Amino acid sequence: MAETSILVADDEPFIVRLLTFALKKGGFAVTEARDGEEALGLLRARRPKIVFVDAMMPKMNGYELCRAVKSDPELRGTYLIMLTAKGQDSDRDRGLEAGADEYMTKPFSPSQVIQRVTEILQSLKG
Amino acid sequence: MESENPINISELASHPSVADLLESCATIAGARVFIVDLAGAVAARSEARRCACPLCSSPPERFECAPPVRAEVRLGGEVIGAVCSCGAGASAAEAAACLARALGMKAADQADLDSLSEELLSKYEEINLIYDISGAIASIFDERRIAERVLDRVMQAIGAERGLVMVTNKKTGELELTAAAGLPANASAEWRSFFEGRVCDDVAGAGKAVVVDGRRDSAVGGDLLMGPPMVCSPLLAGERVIGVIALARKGGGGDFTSGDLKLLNAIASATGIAIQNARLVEEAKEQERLRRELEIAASIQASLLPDAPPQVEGAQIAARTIAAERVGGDYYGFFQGAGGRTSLVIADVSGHSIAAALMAATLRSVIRAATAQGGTASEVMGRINRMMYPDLESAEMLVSMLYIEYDPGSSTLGIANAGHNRPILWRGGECSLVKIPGILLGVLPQHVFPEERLPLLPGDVALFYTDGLVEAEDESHEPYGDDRLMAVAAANGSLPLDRLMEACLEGVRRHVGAETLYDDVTMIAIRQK
Repeated sequence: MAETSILVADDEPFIVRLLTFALKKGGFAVTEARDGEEALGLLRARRPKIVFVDAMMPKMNGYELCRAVKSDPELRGTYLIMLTAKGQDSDRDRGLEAGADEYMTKPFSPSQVIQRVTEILQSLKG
Repeated sequence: MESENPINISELASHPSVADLLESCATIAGARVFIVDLAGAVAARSEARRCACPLCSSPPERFECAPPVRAEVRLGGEVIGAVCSCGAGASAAEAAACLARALGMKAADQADLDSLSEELLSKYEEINLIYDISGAIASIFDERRIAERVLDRVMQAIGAERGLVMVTNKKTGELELTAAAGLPANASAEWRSFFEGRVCDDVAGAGKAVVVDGRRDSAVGGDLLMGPPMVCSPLLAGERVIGVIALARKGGGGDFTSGDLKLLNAIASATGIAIQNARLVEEAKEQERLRRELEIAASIQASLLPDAPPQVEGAQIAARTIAAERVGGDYYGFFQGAGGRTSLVIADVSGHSIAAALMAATLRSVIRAATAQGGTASEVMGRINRMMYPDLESAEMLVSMLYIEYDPGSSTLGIANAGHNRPILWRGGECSLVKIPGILLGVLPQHVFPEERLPLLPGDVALFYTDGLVEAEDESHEPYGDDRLMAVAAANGSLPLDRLMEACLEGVRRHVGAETLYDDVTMIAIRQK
């Protein structure tokens, strides 16, 4: 199996399935997590380069996960994309303050997600 | 063949439920069981050693030659991999065949799931696009900008090379090009003749979307700018078509699909609402502007009117005016001339706007200056016309006016008329119209206005009024008219002037009934003591 490059952490199965399918279709290796704790475990075990982090998740929410990742020297370089609902500007700001590198609003364009992930992975390589 | 079948056996084999199946099969077979891809590479294998054969002792990463037991995994009749075993036990072949069938069924489920996911992905892309476009255009209140924004996004989403939005002209109802993209700038006329005639009119007329594929009309599909393949949807405001959006030349040379049409319809629907909203906002702004303008005009007009009629030796004077719902251009005033003479003026400036109110202000200054120079009513009116003509001509406005000079010494009215309603003379319970010829101010730069000399007997009343009084219509558009006015005046001419005028106004109100007075009503009355 290809090296895991992307982790999708969201408790909403529809979003997880959609993002995973779109990213796999785009040629990326994807791992899924349904809560923040599972996501942190997979981050440590598989070291994905990019993580899609839903703001509201059980056990450990998206903000806590962002803070945990950015305070861990081993994981700090992981690129975090916060998933927020459209119009929830406070969620977005909170996410960026917690350490997210950028945010993406739901609904999103799957084709634009693939394009953005490609750009991020290229810039991380560079 | 692999490209037609996207299911990857390695991915399928990595699923946890497959690992459980693999171990169960190995138990039944009494041997190791392997799942291999089309090239023979091992995708998964059972863990426990079951027999002492070389295959079980040293499990390979790839099968270079055929194993003793091999069962193909098929999806829709196509081989996507195989289940292999050493075949040490009698049941090995059966176990491998069972697992191969199970993997085939799982692959079919996965293919269905992928297909649904693909559809879901496409729908989600559409939802996002509609959400995105609706959000983007919700705060735009300019038709052209809405059309440009929508066209740009929808062309990207559907992958069209050319596109346009046509919106109906609010006044003529004709479709007009509002936004276009990908069209050569110099060829719009050729395109319009084809497009408007062949497709847009059909869509706008029927309010239904169409897809025209490249084969159906190949005769016009070649070099024409918006020729087929194309897709076109109506922009609807409720059930009314207020425009069309069309896309042509799908990227990659294919035809537009029914999915493209559905998406375009959804976006066209949001666009129609946005354009309609933009129009409503524009109309509301225009109405507010007009309302403000009328307020200003009314304020100017009110400021021009005298506070109270003058006290004149030998006569009583009264005046009354009612502003219409829409401001009219009525004006009246009193001016002091030489030798104790008092001049009365009643006028109606054409138009119902700030311009009319400002023209009335100019008129008042001009009357004051013209009256101060002295002379007969005819001379003063001629002077007023000369002074007003340049302004009236450039503003394309006209003024009707009566200039009435009262000489207390001779108890005589000198009246000059510039196209105004004829005065009414009440004498001994009877009324008559005083006929005085004269053209409107502003028609000719020089004009001699004849003067009517009207000696007043004690008790006589002269009544002057604007057209708002006699032209006020009832619900069947019947004007109040001179005859009705004279009848009321005749019956009430002996009353105090305020009550006489109130009786005249009451008469017109009764005539109009529930209808609105659309023009100002103004009256001046003078009674010889």
